[in-house]
Amino acid sequence: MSSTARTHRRPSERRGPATEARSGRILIVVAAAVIVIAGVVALVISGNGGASATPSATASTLPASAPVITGTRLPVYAAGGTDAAAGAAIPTVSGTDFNGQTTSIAANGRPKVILFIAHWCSHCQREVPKIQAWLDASGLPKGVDIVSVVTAIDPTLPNYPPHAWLTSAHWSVPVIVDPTDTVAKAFGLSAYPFFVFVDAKGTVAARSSGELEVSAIQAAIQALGGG
Amino acid sequence: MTVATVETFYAVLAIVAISLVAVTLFVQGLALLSIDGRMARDRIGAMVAPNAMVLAAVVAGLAMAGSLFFSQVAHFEPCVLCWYQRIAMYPLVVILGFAAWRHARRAVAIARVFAVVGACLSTYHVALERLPGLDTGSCGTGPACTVIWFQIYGFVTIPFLALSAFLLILALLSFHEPTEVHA
Repeated sequence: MSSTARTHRRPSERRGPATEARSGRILIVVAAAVIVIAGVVALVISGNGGASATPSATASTLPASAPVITGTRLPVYAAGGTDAAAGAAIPTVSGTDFNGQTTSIAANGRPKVILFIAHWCSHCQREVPKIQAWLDASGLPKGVDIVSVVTAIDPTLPNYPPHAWLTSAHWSVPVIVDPTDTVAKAFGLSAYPFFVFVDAKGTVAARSSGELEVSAIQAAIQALGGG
Repeated sequence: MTVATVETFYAVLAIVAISLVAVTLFVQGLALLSIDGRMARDRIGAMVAPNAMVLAAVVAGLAMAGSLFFSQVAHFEPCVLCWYQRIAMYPLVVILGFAAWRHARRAVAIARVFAVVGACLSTYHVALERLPGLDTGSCGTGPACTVIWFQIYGFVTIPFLALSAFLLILALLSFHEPTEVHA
């Protein structure tokens, strides 16, 4: 560094201790005032209705009893490699939707797509409108049944209640409500959303976890002989 | 005091924090461009520097208190990324408190590392909330990082709160040691 270089000292070194102490006190007071004002603003705003909605009481929209499951439980799905459940007979499920109407999953000679969704799962929140837009545009695929299982229901988690979410999404796929996750466990769910593709014999053709594009769902349905 | 009140309280603080970070970036940028800018930065630094460590420790303490409130009182279950951000934030309370008490330069350097790592994690978490497709495309059976527990004013979420705290700590630390050129 040349001798002609400008000298910069710490600003605090150029100021007297009294000035530094005063400006320091002012800063602390300002910081404390900001925290207090934030608290007052929060009290005023939340007192006027709050910033976030509290889940409404919707216990009445959930079935009082868990779906009835018969048959052998499928092994838990592991992505990659061969699915241990391929070719296995699916369990039979008899449950209800949010309106109490009976909905079932059973080997009835028709291929099926079973979709498991969770209200709090952002990927399910993206999958539902994609499928609904496809169904709105093309209608239900011929020769194949589509059933959705609403599982992992938790009133403490976001986007609760699930029936409000699905109503706002105009979800037209039949629903089985799974309040105790028994259907999810019976089908070996490992992540959400979860797909089970079932052939006409009532055995597992394929399972998949995570979002699927509509084209992939269509390809799987064609492989099942529908479409 | 309701959970909504606490959420709004932290949202207001986060907006103030991000505003201060923007001002700091502007001032530090001006200081790089001109002598007048450097003088302005030094004037602000003269006011902030003596208390930068204390204020940064308070920011870290408020962030830690908020995260504990949201998990232990509001029962917002933390995801993996939330835990990583906690690992970056909680030690800052001790490190910055120690740095403020003992004027320890080395502690300040360590605090910067924690804050930078935490800010990077928070940035990724905020991006994940906006673009869930960035991850594996599925939600695990445990708490998912893409779950938005609350959103205030359309953009303030828990990772955003953490990001604003990490950035404000870095902004305060940027005033800790003003440019020093010896003749």
